[in-house]
Amino acid sequence: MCAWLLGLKAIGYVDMVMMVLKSLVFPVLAGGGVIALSWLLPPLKKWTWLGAWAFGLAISVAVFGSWIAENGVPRVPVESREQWIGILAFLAAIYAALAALTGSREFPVPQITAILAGGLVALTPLIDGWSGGKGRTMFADMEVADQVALGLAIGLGYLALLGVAERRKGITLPFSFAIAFTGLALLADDAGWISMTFAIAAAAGTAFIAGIVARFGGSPSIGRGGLLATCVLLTVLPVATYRQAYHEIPWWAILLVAGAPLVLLPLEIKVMEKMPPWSQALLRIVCVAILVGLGLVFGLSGGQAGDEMMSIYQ
Amino acid sequence: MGCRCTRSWFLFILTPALVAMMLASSVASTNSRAEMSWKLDPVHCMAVFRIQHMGAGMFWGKFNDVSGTVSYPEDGSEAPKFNVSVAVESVDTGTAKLDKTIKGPQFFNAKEWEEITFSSTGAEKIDDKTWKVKGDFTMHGVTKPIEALVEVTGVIGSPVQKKAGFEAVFTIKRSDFGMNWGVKNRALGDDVRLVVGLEGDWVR
Repeated sequence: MCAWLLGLKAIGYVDMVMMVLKSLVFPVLAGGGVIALSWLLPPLKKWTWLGAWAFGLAISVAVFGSWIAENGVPRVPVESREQWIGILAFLAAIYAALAALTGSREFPVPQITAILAGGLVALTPLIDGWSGGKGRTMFADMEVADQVALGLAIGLGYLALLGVAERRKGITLPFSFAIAFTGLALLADDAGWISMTFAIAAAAGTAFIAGIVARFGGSPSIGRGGLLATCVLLTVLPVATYRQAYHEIPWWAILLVAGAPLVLLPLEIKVMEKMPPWSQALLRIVCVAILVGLGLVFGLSGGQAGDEMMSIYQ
Repeated sequence: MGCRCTRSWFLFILTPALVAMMLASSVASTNSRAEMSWKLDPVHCMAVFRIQHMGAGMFWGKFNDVSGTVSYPEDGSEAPKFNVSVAVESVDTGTAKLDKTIKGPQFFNAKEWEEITFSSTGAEKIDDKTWKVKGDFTMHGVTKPIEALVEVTGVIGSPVQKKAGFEAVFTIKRSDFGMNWGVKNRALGDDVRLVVGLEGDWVR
């Protein structure tokens, strides 16, 4: 047994398992722990703002934890642009807290939240310049217009799904986002970006845990905080994959996967209301899964087995 | 008599002129030797690297776009000086998909750090053809001093056109340059051996 373990150690499998633990399993457990405590523990369940923050905090913790396990703690000004991912994962948790604090206030509070969150991302080149950096756009080959579009996508995505997030409690949104994140993780893997694959997979794993907790935890809502953090990560991570990596995944395939949860919007129709709640949730999740599946069919290159230098799992 | 006088005058003028021309030619020749500069010919330059995969086989790849200049007198009287630049985008492993992975953020991060450069700072003669060259090696945004064993593989040509060839061999630890992925779990080795073949055309 000991010799067997030493043998594994010698060929590095123990180290590889440790890498998967640090970059994926521990971040998912940390995120899942945040969700479970916030949504299941009776004293904490009473705090509405915590419930509305928990999902956002959990996926931010998972992505940030995974990112720093692979790349170290990011610093401002960034030396290399992909460090923005770690910074944004951290900021997403703060955005989520602020959005959760807005409670159920109507116009213009959600709009201001969206403008602040999207605006901060759109202004990244200025922030980078002010902090002593080179004043570059967030990712490679991006123009200022792309940067603004990224900020708009975050803000508009938040506003579009806000109604859905407040109405659809329980498993629908966590599982929908989990499926979208899983699809993006597969695309990041196909793009050969291991750190990004782990980071997105950590978000997916945490969202799956949130879905399971929601099933048994009295169907809580992911809340405004959860939605805003998800919008930030579901927008920034695929754009980073598309811009920083060299594999030519079609942009529309990435958009199909990342934007799949938007299908929940037209599914807010009266016909659906006549169905039992569980079948409504199932149908909505299946629709998201179909769009993600389509994106993967068109986006994945098909791979050439054995040609990846990092094919450590084969 | 008149003829001898003319010849004397002719020699009197010609001899110093010839001596002056020879001296000038000699000085020019000495200068050109000391300052001979060679512009690297990308077609005949290549950087090949070797790294261990999964603690097992040695994996080879190359960079096809190598450019820069070398200063080196053709008689080898002075140490060569190198200013070499390698375009990361030109990495070539023979597999297009792997090339994209290597250029990506996990390894060379070529969209952030487009070039690998070497600028020599000094050299020590080992033998007639070999020099131990010291210099600053920049990769992945990090600069570190390294030592390379450089062989002068040949200097050839006419007074009009000359070519010089060099081969540098050195090993770096990629983790020193912040390229850490796979080092700890030994998916990919840390030591990278590089063999750089250079050929330059004389710049008059």
